[in-house]
Amino acid sequence: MKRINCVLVAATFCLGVAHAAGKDDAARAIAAAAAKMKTAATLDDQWTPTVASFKAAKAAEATGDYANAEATAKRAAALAAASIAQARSQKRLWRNAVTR
Amino acid sequence: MQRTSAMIVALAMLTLGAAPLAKAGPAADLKAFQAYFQTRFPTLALQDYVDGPYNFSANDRAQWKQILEFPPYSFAVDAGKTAFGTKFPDGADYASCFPLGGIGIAQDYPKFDEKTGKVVTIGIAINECRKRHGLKPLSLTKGELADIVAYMTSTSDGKLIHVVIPNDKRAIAAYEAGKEYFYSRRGQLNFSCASCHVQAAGKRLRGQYLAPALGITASFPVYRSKWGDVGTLVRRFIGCNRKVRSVPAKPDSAAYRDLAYFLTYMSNGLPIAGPGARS
Repeated sequence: MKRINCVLVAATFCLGVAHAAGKDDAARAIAAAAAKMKTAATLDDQWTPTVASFKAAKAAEATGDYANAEATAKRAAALAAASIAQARSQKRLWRNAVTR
Repeated sequence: MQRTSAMIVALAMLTLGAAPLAKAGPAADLKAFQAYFQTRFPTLALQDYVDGPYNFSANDRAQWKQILEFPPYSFAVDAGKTAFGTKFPDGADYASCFPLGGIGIAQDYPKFDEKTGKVVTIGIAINECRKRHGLKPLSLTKGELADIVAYMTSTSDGKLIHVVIPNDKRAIAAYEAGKEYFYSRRGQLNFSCASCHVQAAGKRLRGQYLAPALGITASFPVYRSKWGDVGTLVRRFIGCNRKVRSVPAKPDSAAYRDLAYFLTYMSNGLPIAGPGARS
């Protein structure tokens, strides 16, 4: 009986740690996405799906769904990174499309 | 020796090749832009381009002509005329803010304002007029401002577009920024304005023909059946941006002002045909 109690206490502790880690991970992912989106905005090339993903991440975080928040924030960061790459490459490439 | 000569020749050729690019300015761009479309669609006269997508489908053109028998934008023109003639609380009116009382001047917009160093569209000029007389600015996309622009544009019907880019570094920079915006791909779908309105002009995108960029501004503001009312060129820019999944700029942003400047300048010499009607 004593052994079962120990296991239960340990399991509860582990769950609590996992929960805290999920919250921190989500917050980190959201902050990383926000930083990338700021760069994209500076380059005048923010994508609408980036904004939608970011909003979804914040909403998931607010409801305590940290796994979903982290995943959607990472998606927002990936989209923002793609838009940054697009904007930087277009600084050079747009000239190729000019009618001559 | 032979190697040195070859290098000099190569360098000279490179310099010669780069020369047209270095010398390209608004006038050269305009010539090349209009020549591109005239070569691509040799059966179209320059003034035909103001009909936009209706040059490419007899069926769509016939429907459009039927719509124009009772122009859907006429209500906007009437409302715009009334608003244009209404006195401000301080006794002034819109006419007092524009040369020639605002009649028959739409073909000269956008203009470069030497005082502010910014491009001014006709919509922005209307809002500046309001602000000068203590009134709040209107939405630059639709509603009362679009109606006023519709009325003012109707008084320029048939006049040739005459956008001027003065020999001012800031004006040239604004023009170049508009040109860069026009040709730069953006949004998740990776489209530029030119993707649809230069490279794919005259081709179908789903059920609709894509209007060539040449002459595209001549019909604005337009009544769009999709909108159910009249909208300005900025409203269309915003719609295009959203379509390619790009967050639009603000209606009065430098990006849209400069884009309008470049794009309208490219239609210099074509007649105003606005307000227009589109599907």
